Amino acid sequence: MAVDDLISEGLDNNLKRVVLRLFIAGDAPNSRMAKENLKRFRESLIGFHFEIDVVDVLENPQVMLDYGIYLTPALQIIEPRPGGLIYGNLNDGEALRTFLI
Amino acid sequence: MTKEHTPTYEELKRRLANAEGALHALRSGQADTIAGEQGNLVVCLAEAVDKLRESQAMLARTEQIAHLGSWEWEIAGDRVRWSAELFRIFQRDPALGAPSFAEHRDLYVAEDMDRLEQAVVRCVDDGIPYELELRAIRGDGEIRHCVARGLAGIDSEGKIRRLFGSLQDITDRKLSELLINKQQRELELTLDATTDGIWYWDFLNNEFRFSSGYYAMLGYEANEFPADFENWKSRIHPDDLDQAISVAAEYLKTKPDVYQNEFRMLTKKGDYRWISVHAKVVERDDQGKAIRMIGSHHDITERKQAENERAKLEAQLRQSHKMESVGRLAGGVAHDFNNMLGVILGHTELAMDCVTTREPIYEDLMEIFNAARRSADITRQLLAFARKQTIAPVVIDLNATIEGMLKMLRRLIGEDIDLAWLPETTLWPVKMDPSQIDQILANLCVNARDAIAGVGKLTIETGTAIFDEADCLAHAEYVAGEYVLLAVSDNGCGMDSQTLDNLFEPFYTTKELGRGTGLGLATVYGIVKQNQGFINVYSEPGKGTTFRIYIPAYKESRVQAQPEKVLVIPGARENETILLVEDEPSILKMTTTMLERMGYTVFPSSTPEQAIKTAREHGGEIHLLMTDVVMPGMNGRDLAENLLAIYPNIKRLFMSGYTANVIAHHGILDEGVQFIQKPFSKKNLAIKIRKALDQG
Repeated sequence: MAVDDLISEGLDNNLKRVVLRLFIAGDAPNSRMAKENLKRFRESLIGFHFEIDVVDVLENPQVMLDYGIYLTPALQIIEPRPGGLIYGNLNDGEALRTFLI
Repeated sequence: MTKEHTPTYEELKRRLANAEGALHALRSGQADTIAGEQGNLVVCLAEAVDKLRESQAMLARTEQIAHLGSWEWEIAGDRVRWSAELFRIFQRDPALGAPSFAEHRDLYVAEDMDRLEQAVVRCVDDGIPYELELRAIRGDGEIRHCVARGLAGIDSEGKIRRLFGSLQDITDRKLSELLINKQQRELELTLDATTDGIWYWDFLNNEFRFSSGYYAMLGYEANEFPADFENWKSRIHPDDLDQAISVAAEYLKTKPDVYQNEFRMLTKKGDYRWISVHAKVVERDDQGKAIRMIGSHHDITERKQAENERAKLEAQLRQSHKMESVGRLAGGVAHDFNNMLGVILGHTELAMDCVTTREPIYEDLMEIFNAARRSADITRQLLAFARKQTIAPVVIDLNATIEGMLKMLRRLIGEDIDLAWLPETTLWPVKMDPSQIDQILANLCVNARDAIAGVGKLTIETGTAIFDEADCLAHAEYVAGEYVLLAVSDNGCGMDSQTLDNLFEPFYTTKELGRGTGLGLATVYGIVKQNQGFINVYSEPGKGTTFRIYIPAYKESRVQAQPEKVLVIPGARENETILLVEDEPSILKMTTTMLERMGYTVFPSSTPEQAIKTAREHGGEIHLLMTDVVMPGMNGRDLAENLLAIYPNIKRLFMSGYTANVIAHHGILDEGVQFIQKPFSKKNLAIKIRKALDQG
């Protein structure tokens, strides 16, 4: 297990770090779509290490106010460009790539 | 994400992008719909986005219109953000991004950059906002005048993290200001260069401006008193103030094209100058009410004085012409009257010779004679006034002449009046008929006596005077030269201006009926004029009167002796013959009788032709031709010339009441010519005949 951790760690150190936070509204259709698109996007990229935090605003509505989120789904970019925010179901993969990379 | 007190531009931009993204996601169906408040949320979001967009657009527009560019400087990271307008002001390509703080040095004129840096440092260190004018260097090298403003952005911890500011291009405004200042300066230089007084009145601000010429015209230094309405008003002559104000008010009310007026203004010295004003309203408001007026003041004092002088001279000339025409009339009347008087006097004398003094009729004849003689005096005065009295001027010393008259004058004025005689010690001689001095002084002294009416003082003085061209300009009748002055003053009742205006007119008298003929001063005037002199009168009611008579000084020869007074009435010597020529039958008859009674043999002729015939036919000698001067056909002078051919040694005696410039030139006898004035008394006739016959 430690070796796996080490390998993971060693592999991770050479990757570009992308930290994201996805706001969803439970199982709402666009939120579901956003989750799937993001997963697919993540899997399509090589050389990147993704850390994604998924926040369900239905469970914690206050979060929307704290983060200034108006709608769901919303993808907040923490790294590499902090402050970026994308609203929508992330269907446009190419635009996403351009925005993140 | 932390919140800051003042969101940065970037933050605001980000928020807008987020809001736009959210709206797009919603509209395109990519966002979740949440039951309940979604509708409102979308609308609010849309509205918020729209407002943000609009604000951003308006901000950009405002900046562009005002040539006002904004900037932001994050101090720690030295990140500078420029607005689009700022790029335009500097003509810098936005793709290059905003220059760093250090690179700003190249964007301003060096000395202005120093000031800017100091201001920025103060703002960064102490948060002191700044605003200053400086010159920016545009991308094409042109210098632009700008106003730079800056203030500090304070974070939640009270620290200054960033600066915000603006730069406004005010070049156009600055150039306009410079142009206006230049034009203002040029206007001021123009106003100072002119000697005319220029003034400017701004009604809205009640602001006056006077040029230096305006001040100088009144004897002041420029700006020596404040330029305002009160200072203008207070300097106007009190007699002109009402019309000055009312004319100005009328102009402003009725709005004619140009305002003109004349009035007197007080100078620093304290005298008044005549000012001519021309002005015009140059700007009015929408209702036509005057806003600004510009005018000029022009000193016309000399012109006004010249006008007054001319009016005065014209009045003097008119008076002089009037006197001339009256004189001509008087002369004409006197001539005809003289002939009749001659007849009355002559025949009365003849009649008196035929009666004794004891007879009652003698007294009646005496009355007739005296009345006729007084009438003859009057006509002589009239002729003198008309300058038709023939005179025999000689060069005399006026002092000596007057001294010889003092006794007579004292008798004339009476004992109650003190006569003071003040002769000038060195006096030029004059050439005058001494009898005219007699007439002048007699008339003036009688008038003085009547004016005093009781106890008083009369002064006769002589002096000298020289008049130059300047004196002549002020008096129409003056001629430049040297004059002898004869002045007669009294401390009597004086005369008012109306009396003075008519003083020398014949028959004008202020004396009661019977006490004056009104010819005395007319005579004096005529005598003075005949001798190329002039006469001035100074008088005021209650203050007395002074007559000043100026006679041209005679420069040529020494004073001659006065003619002798003959005391004995001469008669004819043995066989003396006289050829008498007179076209007036009554005078011919009377004179013939007189001469025969004197013992002369007389050949009377009523025409020159008859006289020549008589002369030719007469076998013996004719000693004397006594002839009238003016006769039909041939005058006496020509007759005499004719007879000289026949009788080369014949003596001549001319007679006339009216010379008509035939024998005499301007009333003055040629040298050696004998003359007797009609009407003549027997005594005068005897003397003149004798003199003519005895002439060598």
